Amino acid sequence: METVLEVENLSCSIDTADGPVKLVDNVSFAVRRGETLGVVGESGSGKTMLVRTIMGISPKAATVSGRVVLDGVDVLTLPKKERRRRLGAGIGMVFQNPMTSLNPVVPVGRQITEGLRYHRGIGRQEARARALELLELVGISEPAARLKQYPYQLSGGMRQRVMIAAALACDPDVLIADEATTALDVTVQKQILDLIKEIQTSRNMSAIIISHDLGVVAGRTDQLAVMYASQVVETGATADVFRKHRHQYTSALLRSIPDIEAEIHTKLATIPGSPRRNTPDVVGCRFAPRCAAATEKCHEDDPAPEFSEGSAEHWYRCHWPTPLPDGSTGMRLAKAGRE
Amino acid sequence: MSTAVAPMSDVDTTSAKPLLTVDNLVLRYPVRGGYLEAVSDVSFQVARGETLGLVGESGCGKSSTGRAVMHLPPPTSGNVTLGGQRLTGLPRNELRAARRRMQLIFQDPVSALNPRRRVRDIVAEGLTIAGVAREAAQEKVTEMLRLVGMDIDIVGERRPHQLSGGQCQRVAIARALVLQPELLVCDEPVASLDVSIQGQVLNLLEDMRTELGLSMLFISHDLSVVHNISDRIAVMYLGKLVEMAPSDTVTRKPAHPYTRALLDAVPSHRDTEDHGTTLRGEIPSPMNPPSGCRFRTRCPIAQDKCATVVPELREIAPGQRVACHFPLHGDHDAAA
Ligand SMILES: Nc1ncnc2c1ncn2[C@@H]1O[C@H](COP(=O)(O)OP(=O)(O)O)[C@@H](O)[C@H]1O
Ligand SMILES: Nc1ncnc2c1ncn2[C@@H]1O[C@H](COP(=O)(O)OP(=O)(O)O)[C@@H](O)[C@H]1O
Ligand code: SF4
Ligand code: SF4
Ligand SMILES: [Mg+2]
Ligand SMILES: [Mg+2]
Repeated sequence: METVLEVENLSCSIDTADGPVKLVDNVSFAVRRGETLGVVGESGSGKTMLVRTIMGISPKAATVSGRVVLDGVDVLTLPKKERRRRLGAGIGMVFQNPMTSLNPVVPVGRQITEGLRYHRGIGRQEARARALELLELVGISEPAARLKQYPYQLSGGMRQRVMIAAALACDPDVLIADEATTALDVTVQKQILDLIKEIQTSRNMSAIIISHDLGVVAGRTDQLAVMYASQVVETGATADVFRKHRHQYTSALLRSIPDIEAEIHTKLATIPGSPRRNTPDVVGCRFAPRCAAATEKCHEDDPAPEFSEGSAEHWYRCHWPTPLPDGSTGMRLAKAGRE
Repeated sequence: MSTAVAPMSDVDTTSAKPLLTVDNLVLRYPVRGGYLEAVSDVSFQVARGETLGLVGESGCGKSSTGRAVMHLPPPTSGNVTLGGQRLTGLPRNELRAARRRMQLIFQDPVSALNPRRRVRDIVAEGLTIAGVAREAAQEKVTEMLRLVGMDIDIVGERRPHQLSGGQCQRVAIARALVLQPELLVCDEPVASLDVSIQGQVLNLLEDMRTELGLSMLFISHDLSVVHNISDRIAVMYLGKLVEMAPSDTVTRKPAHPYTRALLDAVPSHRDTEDHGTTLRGEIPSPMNPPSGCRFRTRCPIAQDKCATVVPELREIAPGQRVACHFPLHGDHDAAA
């Protein structure tokens, strides 16, 4: 299958009084046409900064390196205007809080087609027809009446549907949903996730679903990347990451989720301490201060990516990977060696 | 007592009287053009040492219920009885004393704590107000912080912004528990915490409950969390309780179509592609609730009767009460 978006060794660092801090640390992944990549990580792990870096909207003072290849073109090397045009047309974005992304004083109809008119230069009539079509597509009833409404007149779920309609206006190859359902009730979250899936299927569109909640990506994504302290620490087919995960953090994270099928009053597994951020002085594994399996080596050497046995896609950064489900430790194969 | 508890539980089922009895609780907020009824005729009991979970979508009235129980503000009508003492209608000073027996923990631990005060003073505050002597208060604060897993020599002088979210929630719990309340009302206590921290706080609350014999009203939108910590679960929709039963019954044999829908919407962490049926629509405005059953506009099995007759909360199995004309039976049999 053809790769639509490829991110290679992407880094974004910012100078602080104590030295440069990496907000995105050497991140690589590829999204194929029609497929969905999930990105999970706790708050502050760098998920949003990764998206901003991809979209060329990282903080002004930041230094960006690496490649973002969209439909075969490395957009980071393009002149600013051309880059904006390509990213705007090729990638649709939906954020957590539609109230801050939607303009409160502009009717939703106009907001949906703003990008379209900017990128494609279509006229008013055509834009209106397109907006109607999009609102219908995202399951909004009485779309003609809704076109004239303002964001505050819509419920949270409706606003997020409007955001999706706006994101789809230019027929993007990739839809990025950054915590798009986090502020919604689970019932409405499910509606929105179902909607994204439906649209993806009908248009053969790719998606990146970003969430702090592993449940949101479970069963809804093909590939999964787990982030910790600005790095991708493990990635692979979603089923492999869930069932054959190797990184100690992935394992601890999965164990810490309360299981509705367990007995009541079951003691929950926890991870001591709290999530860390990258600092200029960071050495060794980012997770070492909280990791039950950490040794001296972990505090000294940054673990390099290694492939999980038998997979060309599933890799992790961990000196002491958790055993495979059958109890074996698997062969060790440096990722660099394969490239 | 009608309270049925799971066999594994260490809840005191022998004592004749529940700690908390809530009868026909109603809470209305004055709004332009009338009032909004956030809590409509809600009744429940909590036994000593028991945790009652309260779940439902945002805006269904969970926080309002918690606050009305605490009389912050007092309910519009209905009765709240705590350990035999009727709170409703108490004179102000007596109410203040009674309120000390109930403590509240909020969702946002950082903003719930005074940013200018040191941790040791935050935890001591209630004791000081209650007139506890300085020395004695200090001793209690040290002990309480130790119980919640914090060392006063390390954190005592710190201020909230120097602590993580999870640590702030520990401080908030210490502040509440140092007053030795009988009832702890927890309103979304882990909602703003990362999942790796959530478990720390939930385990702590659970330890405190067993160690101190606390009762808890545990409010959350997250059914997995509520299932873990509660003996029984009450499900709320648009101001009303629609189902109340032992936790395992609610999660394994729900009888109300709304409970079923909530369960189906819980994101599964098992990476299965079967996501069950999806509930349509969103919770309507409490300003103008649907006639008859309030859930009927979204219910997949609603019938004519549902629009005209209000379903009462009634017992359909020992300990399981449900407000539905056509309750579901057994597992996974919601008509789609
Ligand atoms: N403009 C900025 N300048 C410097 N650091 C920032 C900026 N925005 C965010 N950060 C930091 O970058 C890290 C990653 O943040 P973010 O990408 O928002 O995490 P996530 O989306 O995973 O919660 C955090 O430590 C955050 O404090
Ligand atoms: N102070 C208030 N004034 C008016 N309406 C309120 C007030 N507080 C809450 N409400 C309304 O009451 C209903 C129930 O709110 P709440 O108890 O906060 O629900 P929950 O905690 O379940 O999300 C909502 O419709 C909310 O908008
Ligand atoms: S490298 Fe070491 S510290 Fe890091 S996750 Fe693996 S075992 Fe833990
Ligand atoms: S009473 Fe009717 S509308 Fe209400 S939940 Fe039961 S079946 Fe559905
Ligand atoms: Mg973010
Ligand atoms: Mg609330």
